[in-house]
Amino acid sequence: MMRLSRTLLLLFACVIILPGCWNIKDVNHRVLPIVMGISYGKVKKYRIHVQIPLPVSRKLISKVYYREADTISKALNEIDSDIEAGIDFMHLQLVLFDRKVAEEGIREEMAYMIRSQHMPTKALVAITSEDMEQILEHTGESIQTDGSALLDFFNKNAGWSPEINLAYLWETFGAIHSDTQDITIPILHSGKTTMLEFLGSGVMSKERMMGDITREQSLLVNLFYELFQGSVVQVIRQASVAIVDCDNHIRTFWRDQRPVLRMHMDISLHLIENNGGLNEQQIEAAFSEDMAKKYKQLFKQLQSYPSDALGTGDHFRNKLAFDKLKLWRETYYPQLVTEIAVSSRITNTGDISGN
Amino acid sequence: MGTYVDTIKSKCRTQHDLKIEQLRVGSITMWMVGYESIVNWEETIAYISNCGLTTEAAYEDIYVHLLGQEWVPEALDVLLQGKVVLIDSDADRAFSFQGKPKTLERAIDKAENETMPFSSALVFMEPLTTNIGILRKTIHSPYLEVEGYQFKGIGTREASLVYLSECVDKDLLEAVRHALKKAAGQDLRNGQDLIRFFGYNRYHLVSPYHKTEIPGQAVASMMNGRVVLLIDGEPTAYVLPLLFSDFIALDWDRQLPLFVMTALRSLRLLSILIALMTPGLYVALVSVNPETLRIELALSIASSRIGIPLPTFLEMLLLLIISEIIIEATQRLPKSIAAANTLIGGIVLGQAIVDAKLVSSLVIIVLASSITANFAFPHYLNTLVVRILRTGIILLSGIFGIFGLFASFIGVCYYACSLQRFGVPFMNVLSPKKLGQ
Amino acid sequence: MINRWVAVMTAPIFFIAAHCSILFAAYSRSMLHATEYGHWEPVFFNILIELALLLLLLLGLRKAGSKDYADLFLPLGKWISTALLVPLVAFLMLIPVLAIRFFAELMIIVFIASSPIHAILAFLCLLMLYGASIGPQGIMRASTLLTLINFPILLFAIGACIPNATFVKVFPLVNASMDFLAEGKLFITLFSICPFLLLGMLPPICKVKILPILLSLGVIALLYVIIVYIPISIYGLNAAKLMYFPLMTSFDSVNISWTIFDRISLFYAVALLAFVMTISTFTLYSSALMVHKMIPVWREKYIRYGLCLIVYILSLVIPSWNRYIEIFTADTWFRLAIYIVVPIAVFLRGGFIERQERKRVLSK
Repeated sequence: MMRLSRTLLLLFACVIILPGCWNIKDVNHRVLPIVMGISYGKVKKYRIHVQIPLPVSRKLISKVYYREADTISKALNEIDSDIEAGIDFMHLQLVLFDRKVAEEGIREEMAYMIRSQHMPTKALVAITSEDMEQILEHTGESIQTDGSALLDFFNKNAGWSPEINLAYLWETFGAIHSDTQDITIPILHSGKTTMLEFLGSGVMSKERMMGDITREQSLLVNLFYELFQGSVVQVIRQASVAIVDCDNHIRTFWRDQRPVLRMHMDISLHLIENNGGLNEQQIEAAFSEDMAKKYKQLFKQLQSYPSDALGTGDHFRNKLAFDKLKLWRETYYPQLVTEIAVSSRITNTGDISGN
Repeated sequence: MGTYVDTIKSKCRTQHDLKIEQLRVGSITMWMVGYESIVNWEETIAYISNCGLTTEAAYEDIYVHLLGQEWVPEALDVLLQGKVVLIDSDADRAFSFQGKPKTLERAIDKAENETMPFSSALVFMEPLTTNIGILRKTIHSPYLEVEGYQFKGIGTREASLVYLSECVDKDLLEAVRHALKKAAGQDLRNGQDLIRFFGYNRYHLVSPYHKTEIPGQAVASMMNGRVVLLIDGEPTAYVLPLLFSDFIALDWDRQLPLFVMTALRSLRLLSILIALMTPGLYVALVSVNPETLRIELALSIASSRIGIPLPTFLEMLLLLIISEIIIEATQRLPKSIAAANTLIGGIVLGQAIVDAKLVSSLVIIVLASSITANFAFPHYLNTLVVRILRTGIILLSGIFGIFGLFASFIGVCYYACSLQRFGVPFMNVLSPKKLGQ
Repeated sequence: MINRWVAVMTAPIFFIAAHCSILFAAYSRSMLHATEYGHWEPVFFNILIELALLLLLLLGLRKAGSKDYADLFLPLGKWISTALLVPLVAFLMLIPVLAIRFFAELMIIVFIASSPIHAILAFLCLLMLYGASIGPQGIMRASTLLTLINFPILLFAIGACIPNATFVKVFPLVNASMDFLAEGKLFITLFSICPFLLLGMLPPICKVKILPILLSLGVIALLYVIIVYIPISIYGLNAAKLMYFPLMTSFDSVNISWTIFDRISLFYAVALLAFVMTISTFTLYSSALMVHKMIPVWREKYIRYGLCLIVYILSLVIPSWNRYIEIFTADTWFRLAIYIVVPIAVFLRGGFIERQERKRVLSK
């Protein structure tokens, strides 16, 4: 009797538990958007695009949906109710901001994405000035042949090249709230033959995009952060060298009430082409001088915005009173004196020693 | 005719193999009674005539010569132990003596269930004395002690408790002794009876004993402080109690270098985890938490699942049940037919079920790896626990996803840690007391 | 060899596991709010306070021999022992309520957004009840096993965060104002040291040696600091302060391309579950034991069921996450009183018992 009642209880428990599969929604009944585009709408505030790869018999096809609404979540909700399957944003890989949105400020948009808990904070952020629909159609074509094409474009082990600045969602969110650091966000454009083209980077000052820097300058940003893998070719007076390694030493101090940043960068080079008849020492000197000049220029440009995209303020965090940190960007950063020294060394001249 | 013979004859009606026959022994005619199914009749008669009796021998003489024991018809059960009774019908007195036994044993065979390469072919057999002999041969130790127990219910069963007095864990030995003594009046037929004797809940998934048919394994267990229970008629030794190490470690491993042995045992541990977790993990990842999968994997799983009507959770359960049925079906079939069954079950059904788009091919891969892993650790009886737990884990993974999967894994850990038999924890590695100290 | 190691390490491992559950759950958020900057200072104070109280408690326990709270306090008479034990039990019960509610909230956010909270809580409570009813030795074995499995997972998750961290963001380090001392902000974060109280229930179960426990406190101190500085060094101070689950969000930022899992937070949540279960099962077990020793008529099993039901209902009653944080703040003074009274009482009782024992030996 006891055993029978126990068995019945168990069965009863099973009956209660079994309808409890609240979360079961198989992966083929979900759509996994990989790009979200945020731009201003014509009628309502936002126009949100999502790009979704849909698996169809061993192939992927890409679809782009868009909606206009006054909030991002409303627009996404409307897209969700239009699509036959549920949307799961956890695989979002790229958030594209229209340039206008970025220039007006992306604080609310970022806050939404971090707050929602349904978007991965490791998605990448990019800016485009192109029409959102157009660029998504274009990337869609590449995705159809290779599902991870977009991911590979930014993947350090695949298609990433050292001049592309990477801005992750979490990084951008941190930078928006940071007093002493800003971020650069890559500006993308649909390529003529390739999937995407990297034009340069948008320079943020807190949540607002203040201007842009070129491809070359974004390489400088990456070199400054020592975010460097592989090699990149630079041309110096007809000679071309590849940067293979980079070491950046930064010292900061105060001098006459002004912040000073002393930066010393060691760059290792490979000599690739030498058409100008310069010897190695001359090339090294020319390259160093050239880099130092470029950095000077970059700093000048950034200071004029003012945007601390190189995170120099972080180096002053321990040299400034805590309550003064808030003033860094407006008050101290424009006064920053930079002392830049670049020393380069050709470590390798390839298989031959001269032309 | 005496009353003794009458009683026996009345018994004969329902016990066909109980034979009663008149026989002239010495100077008197006696009735010889015995089970011809147990006793070799001709040899026994030859034994009686060869034991040096003269033709004038009286009852007492015969009694002495045959090493007899006083017998009354109520003690019919001594006959079951292979004894033979001689009844002097005139005087209504009788004695019993050991008859010549019929051989009801097979020759010592090689291991059926636990074959290992490069190991001794000697395994336990059915008769108790043979098994004790095998153990004595294996270790040759003066410390090997054997205690006899008898369980008398409807039938009678002999059992022996074997241990090494130098190594054995005293508390364990005391607990086992106590339980066995208490159960002397009950029937011992199977493992469930044994579990009842030891006073454990029959709803436990894990039995308190480890069965082995390899003497070396039994001896190694005894060296580690455990005791071995040999039951007459069972070709295995019951090692008491079962420990977690029985799931991953064999005595056989010790012939390998330490590093290889460790690698091998880690592999077995891993295979337990794989057998236990992968189906649940798949269900959790595909149907509840696809966000934890990489996008490439998620998309490829999604494309393999297009058009499949069942939810992953049911798909997995369905296939799991089918595969369990196949395992169950093959294990009792003759070897040649089992192969055909495997072919049909494994290849034909597996291929067809994917082609018919009833289940996705990934489910088959996951399930196959889980089931293969299931048989990678020793030994068959232990796999059953894992197979049952696996189903529970799939259910919980279906409900709570990854969270359910790992919560149920923690539940399994709790269960394993809660087990304690004869004062020895199942997870003995994690207990502060070493066995036998 | 292994068994001897286990004998010594069971208590320290449990101590670490109990700390991990609390540290990795709510500690970093609470600590981020304790002061403006220089978070290592309140952390340091936390550790110092814990060290002092821990030493007091352990010395008392050592003098008393293998006795737990109930054995120590019950001979003091009905009133005093009730006054000491009832608040202690109430406080111990608060630990699983908060721990389980936290974990359920985390689960809803991370993995199973659409499951109703009552189902998750019921599941967690059942697991806890099961864990608590496997007996003290079983709980200790499970704590050792789960910690050995899950601690490396947590370390892996922390290690994976490091490439995302920028070291300079931890500055400024020195906060001379000590603003956390004002308004009792420091005391709010002191919930993190509560596992030391659990050690008082250990002596009948396993050996509690002072030195290994102090060494494990060293490991824990390291964890304290790391956990507070992970969100800061990844997001920066200002952004980290905005978050409800700073650690979780930090782990979410990790991108590892060689695992099949896309989220490191998965590992974090899994490991956290094991630790939360370890501390909750033990608190449930020990409160049931104490109630049983106070009222021996009630059977321990039913007390456990009752307490588990109370935990379930209480954690279900907390309606929102903000209420949860309020409760965290509201029980500060109650908690402090327990922290101070219990170790002192144990120390005094321990001394008394030791003297009595000596007298008894001498008179013989």
